[in-house]
Amino acid sequence: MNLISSKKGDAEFAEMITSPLIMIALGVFVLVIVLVQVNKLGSSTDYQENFYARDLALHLDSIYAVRKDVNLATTYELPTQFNTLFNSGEIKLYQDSPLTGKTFWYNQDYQYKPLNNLNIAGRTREYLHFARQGNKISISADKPKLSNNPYCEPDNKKFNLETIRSQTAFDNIEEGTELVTGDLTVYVKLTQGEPELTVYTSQHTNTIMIACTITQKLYGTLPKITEHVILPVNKKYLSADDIRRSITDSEEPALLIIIKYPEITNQVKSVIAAALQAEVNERA
Amino acid sequence: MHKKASSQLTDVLLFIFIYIPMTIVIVASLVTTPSKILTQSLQPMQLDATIMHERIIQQITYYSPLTGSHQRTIEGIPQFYPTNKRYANRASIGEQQYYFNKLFFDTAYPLAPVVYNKHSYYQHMNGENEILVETIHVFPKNYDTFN
Repeated sequence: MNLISSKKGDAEFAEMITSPLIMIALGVFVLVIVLVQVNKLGSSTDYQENFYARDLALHLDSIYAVRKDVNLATTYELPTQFNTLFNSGEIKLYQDSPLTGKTFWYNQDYQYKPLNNLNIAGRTREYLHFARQGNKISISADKPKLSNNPYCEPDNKKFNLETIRSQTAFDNIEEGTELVTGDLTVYVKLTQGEPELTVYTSQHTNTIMIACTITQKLYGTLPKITEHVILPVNKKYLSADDIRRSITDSEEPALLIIIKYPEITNQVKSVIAAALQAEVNERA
Repeated sequence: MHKKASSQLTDVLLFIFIYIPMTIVIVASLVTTPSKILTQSLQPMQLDATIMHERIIQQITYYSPLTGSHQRTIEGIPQFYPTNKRYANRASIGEQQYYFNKLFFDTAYPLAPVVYNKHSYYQHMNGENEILVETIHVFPKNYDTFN
């Protein structure tokens, strides 16, 4: 009797569970779960906040990766609904409160001044403007102004130097002449032309540093100079009569400064000599 | 009668042991796959490592705009402020080795690429002698913090 009753119950249960109504209910349930999840993904801004926080951090990291002697300005288009908070090594992107935002990290370089509590509200800007000048990075809602003055890394290396202040040296400056001697030799050649400054250095360690600081001083004294280049040269790429041989053949560190300037006057020669003298004084 | 009961029992068993688990698996995958794909697109570690390699190279070399080569004519060493990001690197410049987050590097490097992600880069530098620079960067599988 029990057995018969049990079988009947099983059959009823089986019929119930496989009935179209239950199937439809299950199908609707599954569909609702999937749609709710899709809606959650679509309406949430978590992904965007995470994405922009990471992208901004990598953008900042890549600005640090550019050569230090290059002054750089970039723009970053960020939806105005997002506010940004920059701190040392950390970027926070948020909508209402920094406590609910998304954080990501960038690697702060020791040689740069850290960003501290720099908050830029989304409503105040269309773009984020990044600028790097020397060892300073700035982020603002407004377009920055960059200067041409080169940045030199801190270098306090002392040299035993002496300037050559003879009339012959001054007269020969257009052919190229030695103006500083000692631990480091500096040759200068001044020619007429569009303003341009090229500094060739020997392969010795730290000659680039001193080339940079001399360039800085020349920028200050020759106002028409707006571009420069510092190039280490290798002897094996130079022909025997190349003027740059003067610095590569020497055992001691050496620089060759080639200045193109619209006018060659005694005043121009004097300011070049004064700039070199200032460098010699600082390095003593 | 017996045949009908047996067929219904088979339906129930199929329903309970095959269809319902299959439905759960499909629903779970429909729910989790999109968020996993989205999370995966937020792990640009290779780009991160490439940028860090470039930064290290910039810190230790001078780039010649004439030849396009990197020259070891400055005495810089790779240095960064510590951050919360779980990340470490090792820069080998010739015989010298410099670490960023050495403790994490020593843990993660032997277990990469199974447990951690690892990206390596090589670059030749000119100077008085040619020097090989190798940088190795390790990350967890997903970005994480030290805390």
